[in-house]
This record gives sequence, C-alpha cells and structure tokens, in this order.
Amino acid sequence: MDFAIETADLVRTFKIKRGEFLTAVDRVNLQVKPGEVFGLLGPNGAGKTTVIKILVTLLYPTSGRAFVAGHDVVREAEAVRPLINMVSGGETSGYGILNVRENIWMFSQFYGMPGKLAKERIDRYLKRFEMTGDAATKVNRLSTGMRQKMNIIRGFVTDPQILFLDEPTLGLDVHIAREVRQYIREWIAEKKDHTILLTTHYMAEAEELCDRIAIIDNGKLVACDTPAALRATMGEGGAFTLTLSPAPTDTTLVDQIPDVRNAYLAKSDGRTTGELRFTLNSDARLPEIFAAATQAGFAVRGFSKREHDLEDLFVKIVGRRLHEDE
Amino acid sequence: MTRRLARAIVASMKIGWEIESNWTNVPLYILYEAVRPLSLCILLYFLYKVVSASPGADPHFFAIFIGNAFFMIFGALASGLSWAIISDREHYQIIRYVYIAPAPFVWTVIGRAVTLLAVALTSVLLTLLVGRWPLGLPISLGGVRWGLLAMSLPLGLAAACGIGLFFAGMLLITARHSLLLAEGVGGVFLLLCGVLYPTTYLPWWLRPLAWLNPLTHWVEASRRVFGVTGFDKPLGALPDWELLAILLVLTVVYLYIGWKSFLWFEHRAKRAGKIDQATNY
Amino acid sequence: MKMSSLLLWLRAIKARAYVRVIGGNRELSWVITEVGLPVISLSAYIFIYRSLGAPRIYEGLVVLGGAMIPFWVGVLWSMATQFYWEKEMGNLDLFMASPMPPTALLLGMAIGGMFMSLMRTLFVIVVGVLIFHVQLSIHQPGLLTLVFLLTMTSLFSLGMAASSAYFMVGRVGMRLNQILMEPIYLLSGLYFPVTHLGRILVAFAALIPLTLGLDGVRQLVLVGGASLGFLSPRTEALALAAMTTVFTFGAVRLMRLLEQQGKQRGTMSLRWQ
Repeated sequence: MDFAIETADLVRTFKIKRGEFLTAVDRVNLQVKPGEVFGLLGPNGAGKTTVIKILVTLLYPTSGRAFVAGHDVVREAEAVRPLINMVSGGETSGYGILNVRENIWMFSQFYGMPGKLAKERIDRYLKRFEMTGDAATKVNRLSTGMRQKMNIIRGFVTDPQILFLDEPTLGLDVHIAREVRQYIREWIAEKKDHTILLTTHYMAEAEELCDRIAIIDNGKLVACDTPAALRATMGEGGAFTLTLSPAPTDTTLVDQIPDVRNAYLAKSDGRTTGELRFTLNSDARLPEIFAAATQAGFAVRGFSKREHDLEDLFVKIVGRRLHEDE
Repeated sequence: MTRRLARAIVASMKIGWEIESNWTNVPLYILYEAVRPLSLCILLYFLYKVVSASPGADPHFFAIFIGNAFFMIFGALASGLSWAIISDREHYQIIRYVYIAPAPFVWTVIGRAVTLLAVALTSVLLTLLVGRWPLGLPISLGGVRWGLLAMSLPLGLAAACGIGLFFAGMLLITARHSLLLAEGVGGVFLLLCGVLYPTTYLPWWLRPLAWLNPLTHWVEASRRVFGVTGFDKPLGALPDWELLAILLVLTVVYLYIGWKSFLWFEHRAKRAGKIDQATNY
Repeated sequence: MKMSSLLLWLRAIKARAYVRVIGGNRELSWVITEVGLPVISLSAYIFIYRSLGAPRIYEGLVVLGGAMIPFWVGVLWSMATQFYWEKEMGNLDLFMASPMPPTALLLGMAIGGMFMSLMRTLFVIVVGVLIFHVQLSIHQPGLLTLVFLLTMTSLFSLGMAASSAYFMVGRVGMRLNQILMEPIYLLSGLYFPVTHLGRILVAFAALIPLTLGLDGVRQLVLVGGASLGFLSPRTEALALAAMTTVFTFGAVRLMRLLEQQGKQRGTMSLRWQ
C-alpha cells in the first residue's frame, strides 16, 4: 500500500432542484501517505465533508475513484470499515439515555472489540481526557465540550488505522480544543503507521497539526503541500500595516504601487490616524510606498510587518479570506 | 402586550399548521387527521356487533358514536400538543428558541392548540358524515339543536385546552417516550367521561372523577345536540341549563388548573434543566 | 461466516439490544406509558362489554388484546421509525461507517424491543387478570409458546422491514405511524373477535401478524376461546412462520436498498427531511 488515502479525479454532484446540480467535489486528486496528518482546509461548503463522507463509505462518488488503505471505497466498503473511524465536530451521536461509558462501549462493539479490551481502552481514554468522573453521567447531561471529548474517545478507542476528523474542535472552548489537538499529536507520534485526515477551517489548527495541507475551495483542490512550502510560495514579503495621519479614506495610495495586493482600511479613530493594510511579495517596494505616503500629505505614525501565513496564501489563491467575517 | 400576545398566538397557529400539514396537500391532511377517529368509531361498530346484528339502528350505539365523535377532539388535542412539545424539543430542537422568544411560552402552546382544535373539528364533521351514510345513523341538519351546540362546543373546547395544557406541561419534564403517555391520555379520559358507556358502569369510587370532569358534561351536551337523551341516567336527569352551568364552572376550574400547572411544570423543567434536553435512545 | 465476523455480528447485536433494554428501562415512566395506559384502555372496553351485558369471555378477549398493545406500539415506535430517529440524532452515518453488518443493527433493535415488549405484555396480562378476574386456561402450552414466539418474531421482522421503508419516506413515516395505531387495532380485532369483520376484511386483516397471533393466543388461553377463533392455531402458527421469513428477507433487502440509495443520493445524514 503506497498511500493510506488516494483519490483520482473524484467528483460528487448533488441534485438541488429539477435539472439543477451542485458540484460539491470537483476532480479532486489526493494522495495521503501512511503516518501523515493530512489537512483539508477550506471555507464552509468547500466540499471537505463530502470528501470525508465518500472516503468513509457513506457516499458514492459521482465519478472518479477513491481508495482507503488500498481498498476501493465503493467496491470494497466492507474491507475499509474495520480500518477506519470518524469524528465530526458538533456531532450529537450516541444515546442520551446511556451514560458516557456505555455509549463508548456500544460503539466499540460495533467494531467487534472484545469486551475486556474495550473496557481497558475506555478506562485509559477516560483517564487521559479527564473524564473518569463523568463515566456514569448520562450523555444528555453533558456539556458540548464534554460531549465532544466523548466523541473523540469514541473515534480513538477502536485504534483505527486511518482516522477521519471532520472539524473536530468546532465550537469547543480554547482549553478543550487545545487538549484535543494535544492528544492528536500524541497519538500520531505513538502510532507511526496510522494516518489522520483532518478537515478544518481554522488555519492555526491546520498549521499546528498537519504534515501536509490541501486547500479546497468550491469543490476544487487549489493547493497541496507542507505548511512551510505553502508559505514559501508567498515569497519573502508579508502582510503590512501602515498607520497614517490623517486617516486615509481609501486605498488609492497603495493601489497604484505594483505588487501590492489585498489592500484595505483597518482601524481608524476617524480623524487623526488610520491603518492601511496590504500584502507584498517582496520588501523592495516599501521605500516607494513610504515616498508615496509623504507625497500625498500623510505622516507615517507606525509600521509593522507580519510574515505570510496560510490565511494570506488562501487569500492569494482563492481571492477572498477564509473567514470573511473576521 | 396584548398585541404581542395576539401576534404570538397567530404565529404559533400558522407555524403549527405548517409543521403539521406541509408534508402533504390539504385534503389528504384532513383525511389523515380523520383516520384515527373514524377507525375508533368503526371499531365500536364491530364491537357492538357482539350484542346487536345492526348497530346502526340501535339508539345506544348512536349515543356511543356521537359521544366518541366529539370526544375525539380532545384526543386529537392531547396527542397533538404532546407531539408539538416533543418534536420541537427532540426532533427539530427549536424549543429553546421558541422558549426565549418574548411571547410567553404558554401562549405559543395555546396557539398550537387552537390549530389542532380547528383540524379536529373538521375530523368530527367527516366522522358524522360516515355515521350518517355507511352506518345509517339518524343524523340530520334539521335535528341538530344549534343553540345548545353553540353554547356547549366552545366550553368543551376550552376544557379540552385546559387538560391539554396540563399534559403538555408534564411532557416538559419527562422523556421522549412519555409521548405515549400523552397519546394515552385520551384513553384515560375515554374511561372516565362516560363516552362509551354510562358513568354508572364505572366502579363507585371512579364515578365522582367522571362527574367532576367537564368533558363528561360536554359529551352529554353533545349527545343532546343530536337529540340523544337518557343514555346516562344521572346526567340525563339534569335540565339543559343546569348541565351547561356545571360545564361552565368545571371548564373555568380546569382551565385555571391547566394554566397554573403548565407554569409550574415549566418552572420545574427550568430548574432541572430539562426544557431543551433531548432523550435520544 | 468467519469466526471474527460472527463475533462482530454477535457483539453488535448485543450492544444495540443493550440500549433498548437498559436505556428503555432507565426512565421509569414506561410503567405508566406502556403498562398503565394499555390497562386503562382495555378497562374502557371491558366496561363497554359490561354495559352491553356481553358474556364474560369478551373481557378475557379484551385483556389479551390490550396485552398485545405494547407489541404493536414497539413495532411502530421503536422499530419502524428508528432509522429515521437514528439519522436525525446523527447516529446512522456512524453506524453505517462502522464494520457492523446492517443485519446486526436490525436484529439488535428487534431483540431488545421484543424483550421490552414481552416484559410489558406480561405485566399487562397480570394486572388485567388481577383486576378483572379473567379466567385463563392453558391446555396446549407448547403450541401456545410457539404461536406467541412466532407472533413476536413476525411482528418484529415486520418492524425491521418497516424501519428501512420508513427511512426512505422520511417525515411521512412518522405521520403514517400516528394513523396506523387505531386502524390496526380495528383490523386486528384487538377488542373484539376478528371474525366479526366479515370474510373479506378478515382475509385482508390476516396479513397483519398481530391479527393471527392474537387470534391464536386467544384460542389457546381463554376458556371457550376456540369458539371465537378465525383459523386453527396450528394454521396460524404456520402463517406466522411464513410471515417471519418473508418480512426478515424483505428487511434485509430493504436495508441494502436504503444503504445504496442513501449513498447515491446523499440522504444518509440529511436531517430534517
């Protein structure tokens, strides 16, 4: 088996209305190696979950092929299922009337785990996630965070060869999200040949956890590489903030400078100073920008530079920010 | 405040109608609503065949049929309200948003109840039609005492609302499967209200419960609307005005109890954190 | 079937049945809903018979009919609608993505459900017999056990088949359930001898396992019950066995169809349909 996960020209369309179709996944080609934490990064509706659903045998592709652990997900679904597990963010799985231990046990039995082994692992995971005291709590009494920790345990308890994590930290508080990320790192470090496919729209999470990242937008794979390599494609420049007085009213000052991209007005006190933000692929244009500001009658009150991150890359490739509301 | 309440009730009625009916077209929905009461009436017909070759010609069966047809309004309300609570809480999981809206929750529940009552009345009409033609019961427009109907029906519906509120409130603090409890509430009252047999057939210790129930008097009044008298000896002895006065007093008492208990259950549910808790099993 | 597959199958059945048995009993309100209410309901019909001056045997007939209510309620509400609920709760996609064979899911639900309904039915019979002094006489215990077991298996295999069928029609299934209560009580002769329905209707009603099962049990348990029967209990046992086979086969086929359609249309986890 060369790849833990492999897709070839994967396409999935959904019928919306009569004669109207939505292409959720559009000729996606992925190759994930065993032992990798592979991130699928994209905004809501990009097609990340659809890709996962196909890979976990819940959905047929419209065309193209997908393989998990070398098995075709359509023709050999029965061979795929014992090797995988899946956890989604915000999921409400299980039965509220059962307690935490019973719920995890039930799912472990759906994977055929021997009772003793299941008990041992459940105890170990409950301890690891500081949930031993909640083992006998009914699931419908758990908070969102605790419930998601239970789901995470459910995903890991069967020791899957390939684990699909679909936005696993969605809606969690900072502390629990950090705890979950920490465990993902521990697990993959311990299980060298195991693989994780992680979807997220949190850039920092993707950068922190993933060996490689694929950026997906409108169903299309638009980039795929290591976080460092992806950042490197942005060049030596970065994201700049220029604090000017008086406050600029538009971005024309920098729009005329070649290589400046994504300029926008940020903070302004309305009268005296305002921030102008933009990205540059190279620092070489900076003197030209300072000169233009002075010439236009602005005084430069501040200046800062931030190295390119994946958010900038996303903007560069897709043409908009990942979190448009931010 | 009054305008806001009125708006909440109207909105609940509309939402209730949409949720209840938008899975199909209106005629099919009305037929669907009538299937249960019709089945029960036909069940009674076959049951009656144990003692009578032609139940349609038997005044005793006519009394049972009319009582049951009207009583089904209460059954539909009790089960419909319970469904509204359970489906909003467990299925659509929107009860928390309905709950935090500015209009008091109890009024939105009443709004849903009004929609259910309107649909149930249509079912009664269909049931009476089936009673008239296939079953051959002596039902005619000319024989209906409209004045008595106009006075007793609103009181009966209000009493049904009061009892419905009590059970809807109870569902706020119980698990999903207590839906069957609500479904079965109709059965309990069917037992107690002299619908299928005179209240004198109840054990002596249950009779006061029947006589203190507004539905019992409403069912008796509904029978009189169709000219049926003497089915239940103690109730039959009451003149119309006395029957209506008792019905009025009991309706007011039951509405008050239903209202207060709903608020009490709501308070309990909040204290126990059960307002929006899903059962999931 | 390989040993590991067999073990997986058995473990999955046990785990799904566990939810039914343990979860279903954890909220004690079932005593009221699933025992109290059928008893109250059957009481109403007993009082009708008393008011009509019907022979005492009809009271026993009603108690046994009322005792079967938990089975029909279980089939409709705990089996037929279950996949729909599982999907709405977010469980179905996890079940389908697990290596558990779908038949294990169906059987787990059915076995747990049968156990629960059986407990409730026995409760209703005991309470009914004690309150109304119904005279029971078991003269062919072997045949009675067979008819009763086959009634359970045929009903729950019908439930298994219905669970997939209901899933495909979505919310309409819930509506269907609501209106199937009373009509089935009517057609299965829950409160009167099914022969009263007349030949044509009773032939149609015999397609419902509850009709034949109840009729058979009544003949084998009530004093003088044979006089009210439709077919002989042996014939009814055969018919119930045939129904169990057909419904189980149908359930497996429908489940496969559900899985195929769900994967093709993407409806496996599409909520609030």
